[in-house]
This record gives sequence, C-alpha cells and structure tokens, in this order.
Amino acid sequence: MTILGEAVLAELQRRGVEIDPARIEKVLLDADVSSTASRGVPARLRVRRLHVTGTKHYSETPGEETEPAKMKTAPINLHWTPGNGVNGVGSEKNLRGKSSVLHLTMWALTGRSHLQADVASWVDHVNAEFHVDGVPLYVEFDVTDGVPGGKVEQQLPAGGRTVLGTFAGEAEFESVMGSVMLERLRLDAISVFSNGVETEHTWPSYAAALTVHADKLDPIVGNENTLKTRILQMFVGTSWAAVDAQVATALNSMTFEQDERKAQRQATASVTAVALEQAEDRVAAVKKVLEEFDPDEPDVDTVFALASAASERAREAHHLSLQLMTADTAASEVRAQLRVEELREQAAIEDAVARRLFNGMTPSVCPRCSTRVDAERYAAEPTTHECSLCLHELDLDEHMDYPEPDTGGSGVDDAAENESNAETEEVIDPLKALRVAVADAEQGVLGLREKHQAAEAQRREAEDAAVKAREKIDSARARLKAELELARAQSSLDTLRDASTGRPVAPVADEELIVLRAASDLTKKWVKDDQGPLLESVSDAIAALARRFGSTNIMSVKLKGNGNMDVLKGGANTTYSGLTNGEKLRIKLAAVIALIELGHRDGVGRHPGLLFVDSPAAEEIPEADLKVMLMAMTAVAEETDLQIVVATTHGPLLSAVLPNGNLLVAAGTDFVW
Amino acid sequence: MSQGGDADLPVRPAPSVMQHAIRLLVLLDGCGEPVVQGDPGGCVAVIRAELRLQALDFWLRNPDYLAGELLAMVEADELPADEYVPVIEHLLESPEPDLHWYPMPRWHHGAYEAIDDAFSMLSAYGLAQVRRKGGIRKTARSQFFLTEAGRATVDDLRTEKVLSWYTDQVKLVALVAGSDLGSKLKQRQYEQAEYARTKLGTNIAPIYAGVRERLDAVKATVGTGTSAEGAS
Repeated sequence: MTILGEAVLAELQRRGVEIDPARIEKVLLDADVSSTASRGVPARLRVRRLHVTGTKHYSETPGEETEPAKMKTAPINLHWTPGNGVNGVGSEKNLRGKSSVLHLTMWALTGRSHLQADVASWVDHVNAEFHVDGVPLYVEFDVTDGVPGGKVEQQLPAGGRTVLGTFAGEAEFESVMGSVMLERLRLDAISVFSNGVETEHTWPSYAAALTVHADKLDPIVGNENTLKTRILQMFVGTSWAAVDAQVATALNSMTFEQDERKAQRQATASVTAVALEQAEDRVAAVKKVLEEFDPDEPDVDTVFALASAASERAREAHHLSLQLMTADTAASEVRAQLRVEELREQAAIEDAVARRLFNGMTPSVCPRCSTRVDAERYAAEPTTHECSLCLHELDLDEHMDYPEPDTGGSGVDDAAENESNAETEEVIDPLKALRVAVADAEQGVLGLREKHQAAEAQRREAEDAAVKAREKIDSARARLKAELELARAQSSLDTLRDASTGRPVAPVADEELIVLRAASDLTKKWVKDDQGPLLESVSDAIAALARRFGSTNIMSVKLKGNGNMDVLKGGANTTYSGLTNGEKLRIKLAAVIALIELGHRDGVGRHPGLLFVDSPAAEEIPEADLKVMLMAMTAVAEETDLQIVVATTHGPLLSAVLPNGNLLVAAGTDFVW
Repeated sequence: MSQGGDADLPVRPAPSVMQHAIRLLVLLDGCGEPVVQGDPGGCVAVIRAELRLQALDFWLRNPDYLAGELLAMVEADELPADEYVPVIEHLLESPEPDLHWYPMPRWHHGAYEAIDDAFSMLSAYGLAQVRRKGGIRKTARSQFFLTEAGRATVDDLRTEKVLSWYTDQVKLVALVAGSDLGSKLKQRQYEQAEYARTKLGTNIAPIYAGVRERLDAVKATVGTGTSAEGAS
C-alpha cells in the first residue's frame, strides 16, 4: 500500500470505519492523488541572454499627443545578457522600454505575452537563452502579425542541441514552455476547484509569481490571492503540499457534487411537502363530501341487490302461481270426476228404486199392444221363469243387488262385504276415494294459495324496496364515485407519505467521501507539521531581510500556512495588510528572497531563484531607500545563489550601485532598446 | 260446485227409462188437471198435450231454468220473495237439484225427448193411460191420464227417500206452469235466451250464471226493503 493509503486505512480504523484497503487505494487513484510525496528540491532558473530584433515606432515626446506623421521609426536590436546576482534595467524616463525588457523575457520564458499590442507588433524575432541547473535551453521564435512561431531546444552535454518542441501560435508556445519548465523545475500543476469548475494552474502562474510589481503588493507570495497558499506551499517545498492540493481538489469536487445533489433533494423534498399537503387536503375534501351522504341510504351494490332480490321474488311468485294454476286445474278435474260419479250413483239409485217399485207391481197391460195380461201367466212367472208379458226368461234376483235406499252407502258396504266373503276382493268406493282426492286437491290448492299470497306479498315488498332504492340510485352512484375518489386520494397520499418517509433525510456519506476526507485531514496535518518549522525559519529570514531593506521597526513576522502574516512592528501587533505600501514592498521582496535563501541554504523548496522587481520606486520608496534595498539585495545575492532583475526609472542609481556587466540603462530620453 | 263449468261433461249418464217414467208420473199427479166427463174411467188427472208434458219435464230436470222462472215470478211480485228467494237459492246452489239435472235436446217444438218408452212403463202397470187423437201417420194430439193406481203410487213416493225429491220438486214446476197451455209454456221457455240460442238437436245450455246474477240483485233489493221496514 501507499503511505497515504495506509495512513487513511489506519485513520479510518481508528474512527471505527471498515473499508477495504484496495478500495481506499482505488478511491485515491481515481481522484488523481499522488501516492507518495517528497520534499521539494530547488532547481535554478537563470536568464542568460535575450536578443530581440524588429522596428520600433516612437515619439520624441513620450507622454504627449504625437501626430502619426511625426512618429519616428528605428530598428530594434536588443541584446541583453543579465548576469548572476542583481541586474538593473533602467531609464530616466518612463515608457522607454524598461518594463518591456521584463515582458519580452517573460514571453520567451512562458509563451504568454503581456506586451502592449503596439510593442508586440514591433518585434520580428526573439532569441532567448535560459539555464536550468546550468543546462542551456534555447527559445527562438519569429513574430508575424503578433503571432509567435518557433522552437525550444536544449543543449546536449555531448554538444549540439535537441529540439524539445516547436510551436505556431500562443497556445502551442505556452503549452511547450509549460511542459519544458514544470518538469525541469520540479513544479506540479496546481488544481483549484471553485464553484464546480476545476482549474489547473500551470507554468505561467508560477512564472507570474516570480515578479514583484510595485503596484501589486498583495498577496505576499505571488500575485493571485486564490493561489497564494498553494504557491507558498510549493515554494516552501512542503513534502505533502502537492498531494494535499490534489486531495483537497478531489474532495472539493465531490463535496460540490454532493451539495448539488443535496440541494436537488431539498428542492424535491420541498416539492414533496407541497404535494403531501395537497394530497392531505384532497383526502379531507373527499371525506367531507362522503360524510354528506346518509349512511343509511343504500349504496349502489345494495340497489342492485334489491333489484335482483325483487326479480328473484317475482320469479318465485310466478313459479308458485303456475303451481297454483296447475293444482287448481287438477282440483277442478277431480271435482268434476266426483260430480260425475255422484250423478252416476244418483242415477243408479233412482233407477234401482224405480225398477223395484215397478217390479213390485203387477203388469196389467202390454205396453206395446195394451192387451190385458193374463192372470195365470203372471201367476206362473215364479214357476215358469218366463215374463208374463214377453215370455222372456226371468232372472228374478237380478235387481235385488241394488241397495236399500234407507241404508244408503252402508248397503253398498254390506254388499261389498258379502261379496268379499266369497271372492276376498277389496272394493274401493270410488265416491269415497274421489271425495278424499277432492279434499286433498283442495287442501293442496289452499296451501299453494297461501304460499302464493305470501310470495306475492314478498314480491311486492321487494319491488317496493327496489323501486325506492332505484330512486336513490343517483345519490348512490355519487356516493360510490366519492368513495372511489377517496380511495384514489388516500392511495396517492399514502404513496407520498411512503416516499417522504422512505427517503433518507441525510444521505449516508459514501466511501469515496469518507476516504477523501480522511486523506485530506491527514495531508493537511502532514503539510502543517512539515511546513511549520520551515515557515518559522522563513519568517525569521523575512524579518531580518526587511530590516536590512530599511524597515528597521519590524521586529518579527510570522508567515502562516495560508499565506497571511502577523507582523510585530514597533512593539505593536499588526498584519501584512495593515502595513504601508513601502513596508509591504520590503516584506514582499524579503519573503521571496527568504524562500530562495531557504532553498539555497537547506536544499528545501522549489523557488527557481529568479526574481523580477518592476518599478519598486513607484510606491513611496525614496531613492535613498531604494539604494539601501538595492545594496542589501546585492549583499544577499553574494550570500545566496540567485538572479534578480530590477527595472526602475532610477537608472543612475542602478549605475551607481551595480557593476557594469549587470546594467542595461538608457540615459536621458533614450530608449533602453 | 260450479254448475256452468261442467255443463258439457260427456260422461253425464243418460237418464234411464225408469227415471223418466217416475218424472212423468209425478208430473201427471202434480200438474195434471182433473178429469171431466168423457174421459176414461178410473182416471183422476190428465195432461192434455204432449207439448205441455215435455215443457213441464224440462223444468223438472233443469233446476236453473226452473229457478229462473221462479225468480221472474218473484220479480213480478207473483211470489213472496222472503219465502221463495231461499228456494231459488237452494235450486241454484245445493248439489241436490244438480244431481237431477239432465239437459234436454231441443227439437222443433222446443225441449223434447221421446216419452213413449217411459210412458209405456206407466201404462203397463196401470198407472197411467195415453189417448191419441188423429190418424196413424200423424198424431194430432195425445192426452195423458193418471189412474187412481197411479195417484196411489205417487202418494207412496212422497215418503220414499230417494224419489220423494220429484214429488217435492214438481210442486215448484206446477207453481211455475200454472194452467198455461203447452205452447204457452214453450213460449216462456223460448224467452229464456240461452234456451233459444241452443241449436236444434243439441243439449240446452244452462243459464246458471244469469239467474245467479238476477237473484243477487233481487236479494239486494229485498234486503234493503226489509231493513227499511225494520227501521220504521
């Protein structure tokens, strides 16, 4: 495992968080965090030569309005070879090219031009030589219509040059110079994450920090507040500074994403809350509607059930009515049969009685011819067995079987009994049987009629109920609709409630965040631990240098990890921002030189040991003070391996203090180049 | 028991000659007029036309028509309602008269059923005699006489359980018939709508329903009249 990975694992275990070591490594790798870090070792960057050719257009009276026709033109042939230590670039007047020398140097060094557009248009060709740790680098380019095109070469130890890169246009130029310089100066790109955008600061940002402008004294280190901490850490050479920056950037990016998500969730949650409230209102409204219905009134199901029951009762009643009709018909038939039997019996009895009556009489005349019946023949009937009228053979017992009218039905019974004695045949009286049948049939009809009447009553009742219910069907339908609406509203409310309670309010920080937070905590601590002693040392050097530069009342300063500074001035505590511009300039120069000193002395840090100071006297620095500063710088330059270029209008002062070889000074209204 | 509904029952037994003979005997006794000089000896009553005898027999065997005639007499105040309404009611509603109901075929002269067979029974036993006037081909008129033996037999019948119904019923027939001639009686019977509508040769339909309706109407007026009297 990597050092950072192991430390994160241990830290997380200490916090009671278990994450797979492989997972930790992957998180760090994915976040582009370097696995290890080492202390910065300074490389030395020097400007050795700047050769510029072209044609300049200028006015004899700079600072005043000049007619284009009166503009003069002259060929440019700048050939500057600054030496070690302090170099001076000066003129007696402004706008005579001293700053342009610095700008042209920076252009060749970074690929990024800060020249005035008119000055850039004067340039035809630039040829610069830089040394990094003594190795010569050659930057040579033509300028066509302000656009640079050329190459970067390196001097080979065996002799000859190798082309490191060629470029056509500013972007390519800057890119080539960036890769050449960062690698050689052992500097890392600085990633800064701000407002969801990750910006990578590369070589031009470092190079800009190499210049101290008199009109740009904040911050102490470099010229951009957003980068002051990182630049300071890089220049101080803190071991974990780069790693800390990487972790911080990854963490910022992730936190930003999470905050975005959180904001979205909160927005969603507030939307949900509104929806929930609406859903609750909807349920309450429907409940209110539903309460207005009479609960005793039939609902739709009941209405249909009643209609169905009514139809069922009707069917039953109809069925019974058919049964009753059938039974009635059957009873009628039985009654008819009984009547016929009664008639037949009555006729038989009457006939028998009448026959016996006549038989008991003596026939007197023949009904055919009215001849008198002979008395002897009549008397002979019992013996001759012949009818006294027609001489037909008589069966005298023939009519004696008819029952005596007095005994009625019992006579029949007697006769039946007599016969049954002889023949043992059971005789059924049809009249009796029919009467029983009629009684049974009428009983059946009676029972059915009662049932039918009951069924009819039920049918009428059911129909009444169904008719009444049907009158309420609209109300029942509306109630059903309301019930359905309530179910829907309740359902959507439940869903919303589930959603709002089911969602975690605070999302659990995922593993990446946990790992990066732990890593950030660790690298910050390591940076602080590592940087603390270095900053202390630098602070002491700053205070000493500031006093040498003329700010004698500055007793001590404390440069902090964030790039700010506490200052003890004349027995009072103040901060860098509370100082005068003159003091700031001294402190700022002191800080850079102190960093260079540290690197030179202890071999720690990444400042390349090159410093440009532009127009220091512009900020309330009297010439005398400037002289003191220059002399102090010169003294420091003798102690420390550095190269400082001071550009000022105090040309004579430069000439007075600095050796000739380190001077590029124009006198009067002359141009520096 | 519905009288009208069963009118066409095909199983109703045909009246026997014996029953017919008994009916003729009681009709001669109850509705005959006294004999006069010149009539056969030993006879006590006479019905001087077969048409009248047939008409009387019709009423005897059709209680609903008889009831209708009685009701008409009540309606015409010829009979006291309080006495005869129950009688009429009985004729219509009790099963007894129905048992004696034998529809008669209608012939050219109205209800008709050959009476020769039955009457020969009576004459064989010396209970009645028939005297015919006119030629052999067409009998112009027949007279039916009841003998003394016949009257004695009818007297016996009055106490006979089964057959006394006829002797009682014939009184009502006599009441209805009065002394009208046979043609007059037929005329009256024609007046009864159902009777007239009956096709020749088919059994005469009952008029139960119509008579029942009229009776109810009469009973209603009698009832109110009675109660009004009671109140005064």
